[in-house]
Amino acid sequence: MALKINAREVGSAAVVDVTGEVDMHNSPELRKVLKRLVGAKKPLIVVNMSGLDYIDSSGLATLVECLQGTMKNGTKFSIFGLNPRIKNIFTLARLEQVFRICESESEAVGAAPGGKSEG
Amino acid sequence: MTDRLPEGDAMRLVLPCRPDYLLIVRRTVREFASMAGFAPAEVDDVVSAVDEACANVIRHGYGGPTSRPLAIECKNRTDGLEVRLRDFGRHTDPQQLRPGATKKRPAGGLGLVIIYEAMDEVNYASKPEGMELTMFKSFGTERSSGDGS
Repeated sequence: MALKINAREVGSAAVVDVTGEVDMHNSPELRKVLKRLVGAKKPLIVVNMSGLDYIDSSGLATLVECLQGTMKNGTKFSIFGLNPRIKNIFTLARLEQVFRICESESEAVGAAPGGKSEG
Repeated sequence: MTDRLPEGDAMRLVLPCRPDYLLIVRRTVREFASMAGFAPAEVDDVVSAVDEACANVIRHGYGGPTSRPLAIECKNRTDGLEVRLRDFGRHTDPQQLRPGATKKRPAGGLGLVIIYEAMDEVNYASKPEGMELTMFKSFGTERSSGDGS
């Protein structure tokens, strides 16, 4: 499935909806979007993975890079919507403890000022 | 529902070693592993391992996308699935192709972690030209009926 990326604002948070499959071929597209948001010093960046079918190590490395960028900025980074397949990949990569993983968008966005969501 | 593959059946793909072919590799290997009888979570493991191994060949074996070949063979053994990847790129010391062996390649290093976690056996070997990776995953206790859903 082709990769689709949509960035939107929920309060002061930036929510990035990622749909399809992230691999070596298209992970630079995700990196470009997240790098722009990190550069803009958004108080909270949230990645919605509920539409994600696959992610490889280049996609995971992109998320790690974004996490490191937000830590450097003193801002926050969360992910939510991981289905069992995606959770398994995080486990294989030993990254399940690295990220703030939320169950829903409302939980993920709740940490941002003015961050209320319908999710 | 799909019939389970007979033991000993093998499939061989020879592809240009480019990232745009990874989707085809994942789709094809997923179907083969499902029809071999793996449970869905085990199929996911096999798909991730093969995808990461192919990406490492593109990135490190050939030093970037190329029309040169990458051969992938999947064999349905009695006890599990054997996957062989053969490339004709650069030699790498097999000892360096283990998780944590080098800090110079973060993405490739993460890929190796996934490969070793996902598969039961992983063996890299230098060939006169290129490298050969042999991986094996045994059938788990929840072997499915082969419908692959």
